[in-house]
Amino acid sequence: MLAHAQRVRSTTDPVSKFQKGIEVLANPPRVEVGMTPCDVVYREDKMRLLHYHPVTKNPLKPPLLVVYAVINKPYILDLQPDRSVIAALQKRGVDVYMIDWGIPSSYDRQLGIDDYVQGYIDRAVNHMCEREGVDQVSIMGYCIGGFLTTIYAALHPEKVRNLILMAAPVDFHVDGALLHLWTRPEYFDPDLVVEAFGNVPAEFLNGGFAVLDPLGNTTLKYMGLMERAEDEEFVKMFFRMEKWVADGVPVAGRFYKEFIRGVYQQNLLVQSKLRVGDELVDMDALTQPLLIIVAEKDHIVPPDSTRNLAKYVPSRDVKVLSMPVGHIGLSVGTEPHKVLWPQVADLIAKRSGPRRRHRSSKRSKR
Amino acid sequence: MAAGHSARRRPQRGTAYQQSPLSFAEITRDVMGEATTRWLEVSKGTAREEASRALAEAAPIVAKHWSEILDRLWKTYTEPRKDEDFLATQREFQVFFLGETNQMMKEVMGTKGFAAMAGTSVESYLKAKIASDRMMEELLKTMRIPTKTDIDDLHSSIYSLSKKVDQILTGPTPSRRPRAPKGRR
Repeated sequence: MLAHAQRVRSTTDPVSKFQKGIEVLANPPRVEVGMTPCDVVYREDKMRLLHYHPVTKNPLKPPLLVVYAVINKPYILDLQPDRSVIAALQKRGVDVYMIDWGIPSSYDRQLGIDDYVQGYIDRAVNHMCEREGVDQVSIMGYCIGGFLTTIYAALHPEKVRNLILMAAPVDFHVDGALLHLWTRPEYFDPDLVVEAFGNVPAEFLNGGFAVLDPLGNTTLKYMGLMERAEDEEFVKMFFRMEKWVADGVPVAGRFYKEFIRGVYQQNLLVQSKLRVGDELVDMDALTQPLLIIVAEKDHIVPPDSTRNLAKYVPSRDVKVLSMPVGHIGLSVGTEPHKVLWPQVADLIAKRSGPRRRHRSSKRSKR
Repeated sequence: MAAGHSARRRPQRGTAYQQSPLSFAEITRDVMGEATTRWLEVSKGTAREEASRALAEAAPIVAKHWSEILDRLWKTYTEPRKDEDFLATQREFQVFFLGETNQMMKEVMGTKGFAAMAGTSVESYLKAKIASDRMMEELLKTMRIPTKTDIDDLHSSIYSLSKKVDQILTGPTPSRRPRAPKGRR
């Protein structure tokens, strides 16, 4: 009898677990995100350039600019102190800046790839250079941010010391992604989406992402929460992720059209046929050190979509690191923070310091 | 469904059926295969043809995963283990069922038929929304209320102006720099 009573009260009792799970779902804890201290050092329209307070005495030069995707908030890279990519890089002395794209309004419907790359990113880089007294920066792009930074590095190779890409969609004609199939021109017309909505709503995009793992995103993760509802740290992490997932932002209409048509459907970037404004984006201009970080279980950006960039660039210093995690796992997973980010910080540190002669090997094919 | 064919495949009660657990897979494949074949014949040349082709593409995938699920269900509840924790067994099957169903859904969504149907559905919704928005615009115009189109035009003008200001401040891009006239060096 006593043993039975104890079993009923214990935390492994399924009924108690279930009750605790319901309690947690009904009253989620308050969570804070993006807690690494920073200042806003530059603003332009909705864009803000954040500078994180250095934690070492003499931060490395050149500084690092982190560019996240335009479809979610960037604090996924600084979700909590022990799962913060920003903090992990800072520990090794990297001086970190990050672009926060803000939330597009109906005016921003006009913005295209050229505005993001030749406008916001270029002016952010110029500001960093002026502020830090350097003429180059290192750039790290995550997801669509990696796509934008690849274009930037190709158009302004003299300003980019190191290029780091995390789960960045670059080569779109690879197998393994539902999004690549669904956006084929015979099935999907991005012009209709923009005509209907203007800026593409976050709900439309999030719906597409959620459906990529239907039961994982709607059922299995909540079952996992019910199993571990008594683990306070797990519960807080869970709700931080939930906050981020729900915190999507709309995508500027013209950018969406150009991205889907020119890149998803025609794969112009890696063929060096993509035009941004008046400029042709030439992969042959990517001669700087290139670090490619791949998530092997990524169902949003297939691993080969990022990895394949190595085949198209003439850079002699190309390194590929991969982790058996998903798209977001790269920035918030336990293993990446133990293994990957210290390694990335070391690689950036080794390629920082006084500027080496930049070898320009532009071979114009056209 | 051909009656003779089904009669041969109909599951038998008692030990004969218990000795052939693979009949679940055969039954599922046969039933779905015959249903989709018949459906394809009936819907040829109709508006449902696209849906039928998508169904035909998805059917083997569904059959494969459902036969796994039924097979596991059968084994779970007909092969009881000694000292079994009933709740743990339930949980194990539940996780297996959800995982298998999730994988099945992903594979179905990866077929061209599904992509075509999803594309058609999204396109229909968007066209309906565009038509509805246009009707609303026409109504608002009669009341002389600024519409979304008016605001978009305004934004377009502001955007063009800001580009011109940027050009004035930064100078023309290299590709647009005027070449020096011949003879003047």
